[in-house]
Amino acid sequence: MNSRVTVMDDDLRRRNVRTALWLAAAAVSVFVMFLLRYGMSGQ
Amino acid sequence: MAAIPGGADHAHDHAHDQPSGIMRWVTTTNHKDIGSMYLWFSFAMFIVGGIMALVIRAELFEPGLQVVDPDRFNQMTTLHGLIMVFGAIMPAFVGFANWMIPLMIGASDMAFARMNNWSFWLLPPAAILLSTSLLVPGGAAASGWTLYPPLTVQMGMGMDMAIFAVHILGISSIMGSINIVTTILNMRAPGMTLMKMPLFCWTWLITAYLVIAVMPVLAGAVTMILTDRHFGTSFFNAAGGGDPVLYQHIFWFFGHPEVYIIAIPAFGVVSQVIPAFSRKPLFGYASMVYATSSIAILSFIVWAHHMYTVGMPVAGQLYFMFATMLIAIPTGVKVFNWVATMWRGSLTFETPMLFSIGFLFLFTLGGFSGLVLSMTAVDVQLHDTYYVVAHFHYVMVAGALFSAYAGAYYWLPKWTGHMYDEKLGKLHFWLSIVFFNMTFFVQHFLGLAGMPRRIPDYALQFAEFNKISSIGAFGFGISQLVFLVVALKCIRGGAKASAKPWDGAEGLEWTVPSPAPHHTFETPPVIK
Repeated sequence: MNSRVTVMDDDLRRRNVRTALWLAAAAVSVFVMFLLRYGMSGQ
Repeated sequence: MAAIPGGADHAHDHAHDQPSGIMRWVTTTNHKDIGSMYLWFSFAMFIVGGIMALVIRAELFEPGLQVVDPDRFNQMTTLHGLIMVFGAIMPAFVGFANWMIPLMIGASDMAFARMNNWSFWLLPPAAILLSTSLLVPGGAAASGWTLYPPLTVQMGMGMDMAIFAVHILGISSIMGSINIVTTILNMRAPGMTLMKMPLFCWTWLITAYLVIAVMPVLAGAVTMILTDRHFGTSFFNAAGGGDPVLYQHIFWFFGHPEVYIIAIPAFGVVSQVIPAFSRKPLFGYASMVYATSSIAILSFIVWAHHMYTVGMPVAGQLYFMFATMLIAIPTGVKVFNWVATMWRGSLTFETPMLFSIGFLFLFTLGGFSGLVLSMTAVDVQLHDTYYVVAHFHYVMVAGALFSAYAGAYYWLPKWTGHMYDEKLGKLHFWLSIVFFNMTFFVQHFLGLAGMPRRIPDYALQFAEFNKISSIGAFGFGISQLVFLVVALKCIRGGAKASAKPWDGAEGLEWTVPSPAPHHTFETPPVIK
């Protein structure tokens, strides 16, 4: 991978990671809710 | 918006110890490189999906079976839909987002540059999976892009390839959307409040949330098909206690927001182009933001208007009918705002503006036929006819594709540093609009006369309109090559573009030189 990614200060990097984790958690939870909802419906 | 353009001073064009040749593109983390790759990929997929459309139209040129057997015909309609939606239009707007969002908000790059690279490079394997599924025993998925069971539970391995491709494309879109939301929320230049952002960024912020909310639903649905096919479950198999209609609900809970995932960024592009060539600020900026958000929220609660014929209680039909009609209100707000932006403006009609006005007329027409279809009593008659095909092509082609062309012509000078050939651009527009209408307008009549969609043969009374439609489709397909010529010419040379080639254009992207240097806004500009 390209070694040079635009310089970003640590605070911003942490804030970005936090935002991304929330969003990823939202996406994963929709998927998991699905599997639980239909996976447990006696199939 | 007034900016102290620190970004232009700090822009530079040397790529630090970056690999050259093909490895530059494989390993790049630069938002402009990745944006360009998305745009080229989407154009390539547009050609592939377009060729499939031409196979379909060649077969439908006259009644009887001439070009492909019925099974191959169904594979063509399926892959055409999947490739155009997931491979062509969505990546095209992600390409615009990659190129333009950091430039518009004064950020140096996307928030997660390496993930951005990964989001893009997931696309080619998915495209290869989809395209090569034509070659495996049994052929590609042949169910239509909606992948309805029980048909999809019974198909060959081409279906598994389509499911895997959809999974990969979904992961790519979700990662891209996480990147876009994070970039917009956290990396705007000082002073750039949300309500000062260019509308294109707003539309992408809203779209990215839609993607994150509904892509996992599609992933869940196709995973359930996969387990029905191979792991003994019966989610959608009535014989095992399942319900095929359940799939339709799940699919369209994803599928209707998906329509807006495609349309909303198109609204964003048009909202940049129309003010620039009207030499006026966008009329009703705040109402545009609220209207776009309303459309996105409403898109979650109207899904069953795609399935009125499955046998639904009258109360359900009424609810979905009225909820669907509600969408016309925020959409109307947007259309009136675009018209009001042009009202008494100093209009000029360069190619981006022509495509935007084409979008305005034809997308509105597609919206009207959507209103017609929202009425249950009418839809029961028109369901699965060519009226529906005409309707959604007015939304997808004249809506999304025309807007993508508007954006491409608008920003080509910024991307390449050269002005495109205006004469060829206008030729491209006029050929496109004539052939587009020739292809799809007559399909309304075919649908009203009762011609069903997704069939390779038809009754004799539909012959004339089908002939016109097929000639139009070939004309439309060939005219798209004009764009390829324009783009290549523009990349290779042409009149030098200034930093702001359009005198009415506003925004930070026009404060950096053309072509935009490899690195921009490393010191964020300050917005007053």
